[in-house]
Amino acid sequence: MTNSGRPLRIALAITALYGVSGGAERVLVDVANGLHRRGHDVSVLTYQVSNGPSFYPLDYGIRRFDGRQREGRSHGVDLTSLSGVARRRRSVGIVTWLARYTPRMLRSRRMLRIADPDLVIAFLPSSFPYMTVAAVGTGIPVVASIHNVPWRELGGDPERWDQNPVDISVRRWALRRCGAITVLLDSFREQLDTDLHAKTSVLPNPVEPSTTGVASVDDSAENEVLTVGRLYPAKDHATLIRAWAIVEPLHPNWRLRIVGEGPLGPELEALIDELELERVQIDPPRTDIEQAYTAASLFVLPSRFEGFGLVTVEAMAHGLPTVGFADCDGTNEVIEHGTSGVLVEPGTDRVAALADGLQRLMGDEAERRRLAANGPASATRFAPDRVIDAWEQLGYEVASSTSGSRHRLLQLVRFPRRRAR
Amino acid sequence: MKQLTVCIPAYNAAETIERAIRSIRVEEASGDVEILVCDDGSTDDTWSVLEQLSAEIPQISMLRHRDNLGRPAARNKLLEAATGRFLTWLDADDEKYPGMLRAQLDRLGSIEDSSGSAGLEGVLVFTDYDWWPMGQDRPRLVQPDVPTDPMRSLLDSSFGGYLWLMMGLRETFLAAGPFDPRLPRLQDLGFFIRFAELGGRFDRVDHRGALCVYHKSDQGRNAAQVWRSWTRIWRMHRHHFTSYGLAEARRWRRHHYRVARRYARNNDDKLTFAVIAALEVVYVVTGRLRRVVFDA
Repeated sequence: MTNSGRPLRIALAITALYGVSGGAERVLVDVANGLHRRGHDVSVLTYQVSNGPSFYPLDYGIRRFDGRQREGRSHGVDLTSLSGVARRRRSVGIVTWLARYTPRMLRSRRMLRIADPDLVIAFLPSSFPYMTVAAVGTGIPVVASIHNVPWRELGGDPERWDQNPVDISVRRWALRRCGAITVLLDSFREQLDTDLHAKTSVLPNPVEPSTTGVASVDDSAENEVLTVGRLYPAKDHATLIRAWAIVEPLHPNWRLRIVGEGPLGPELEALIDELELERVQIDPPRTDIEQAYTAASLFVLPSRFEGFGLVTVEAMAHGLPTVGFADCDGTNEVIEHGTSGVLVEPGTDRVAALADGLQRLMGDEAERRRLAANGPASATRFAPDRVIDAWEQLGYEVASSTSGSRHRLLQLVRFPRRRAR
Repeated sequence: MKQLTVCIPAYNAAETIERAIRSIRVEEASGDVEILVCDDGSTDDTWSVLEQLSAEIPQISMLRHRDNLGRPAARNKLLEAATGRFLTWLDADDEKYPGMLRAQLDRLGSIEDSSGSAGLEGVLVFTDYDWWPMGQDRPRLVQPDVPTDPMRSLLDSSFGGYLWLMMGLRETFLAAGPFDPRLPRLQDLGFFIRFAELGGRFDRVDHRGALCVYHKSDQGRNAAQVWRSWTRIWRMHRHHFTSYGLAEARRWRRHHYRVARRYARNNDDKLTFAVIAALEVVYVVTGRLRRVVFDA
């Protein structure tokens, strides 16, 4: 670590921050603020459909650049609708891929030139493949940051990212080409090809210890089960609502609060009406989410798939016992079964299994207290200081190992590096 | 540490500088105030007026450029020399009304109370002001709104705030500085764009109604200089303009041509007017052509 101590110029790239309240965006902002507070020169590069301030506040002093996305169409052709054809014909795949992403790669390259960082950390498969291509020949190393279960991110899940096989190939190529890879949990590293393990770091999401105190999990006249997450199929709120239909009549002093918004909102509201549930409410996301945690007595995460389960760690940090599914990667590593929460084996009936898991804790005040007491300690695995340390370390490693390795041939592609000021 | 530094760049301001300095009510601050004046190589009596004043007003500190280096250089010198925790500006021909400093310090204080001293970083507090064009018998009240997206409000020229309205932590100004010496005009805008790029935001005092007056004079407003400054802003920050979409960027760029043309017309500078108008035609035509080619 010859260079450690020297402030780095670090760029963080993600598709959008304006009005986006997702987990990866949150992490990017936390990491950017953390690195900035340690004296590094941080810029944030986005490629948004519309530009504006970040939903999560970035510190003053972090530079923002936006490449302004051009719609996913070119010359009047909707390129996304061609992805079916692209899957069958390689040539169509290549053409649509180029048409769709060339503007983005050019913009990314221009933003790299303006921000002129020592390294760029690109978040999510919607960003790192194109940033890796854009950085070719610039001498700027790219860190590909994966924020979900790797096999789902690399083409294994038809719901996630561009299904054009060319895009999937580029995504895999980018992982080989880039300077380093980050994943969120130990088990995720194993899902990558073995030759990538050496340059893969495990960098969990940073989660602040509670500043608003811990929740009271004792029985009272009005107790609350809380879940937080985008209303999206992978989060499987429908299973939770159905499970609630089983437990609601048995526990008259409990209510369920779902915090989140998303495409399934109306459907879930309809399901609540259909099941004639009275003590369920869906609230939009809020920036003072801490208050929701401290007001609750039990946290549940019904997700089938979870990249990490940031909200679960937050719940633990706020002293809430947690319930999740044992077959959900991420959740099953975050919740330590029997220590800080309960992992439910889904069996054949997810609804019944979840209802059973909820009831076990709703009806057992002592057990809730025991699990809740272990929550904050368990959450320190993800303490921001530790996580930012690891990011900083990674930054120094990547910046020093690749510095000066500008490809001779590719220097022909002109990339005049200039300081922004 | 002093509580506040009031920075005043002065060039050939012998007639107005006394009025400006006397308009600063140092007693409105709870701590020490420093009035920092930079004489930017004036050729009139500005310096001797300042010397007389400083004998009477102990808060005055004076800096001097031997040659006239331009307002950005004077501002940079002031920024470097300022020692106060907070910093604000005053132009040598303008005036602060009673209550301005107090209103701004109160607002900053209440931000600090609610979100700690970290909450003050990147915040500039402004007030309403009187806009008084020379030769008119009464000023016009200007009440800028707090922009939700500061960057956008600067690029589309909808934000009516100027540097001399702003008070904030000295570090906040230092982080966004220095002022671009190649902007003889619009150095406020260039500065604010970098301020917004860093995530800075504007906030207003609780008091409604003008708290200072800007004496606007059209003298010496060189249209070509205005034009070059706008063009430099556009070149330096084009990526910010285009980040709101090409159509918007081009519309906002047209505004630059319009303003420069207006100056040329007011100054009866027919040649500059013709040149800018011709460039504008080229700009519009190439834009149309590009749209035809790309959207065909």
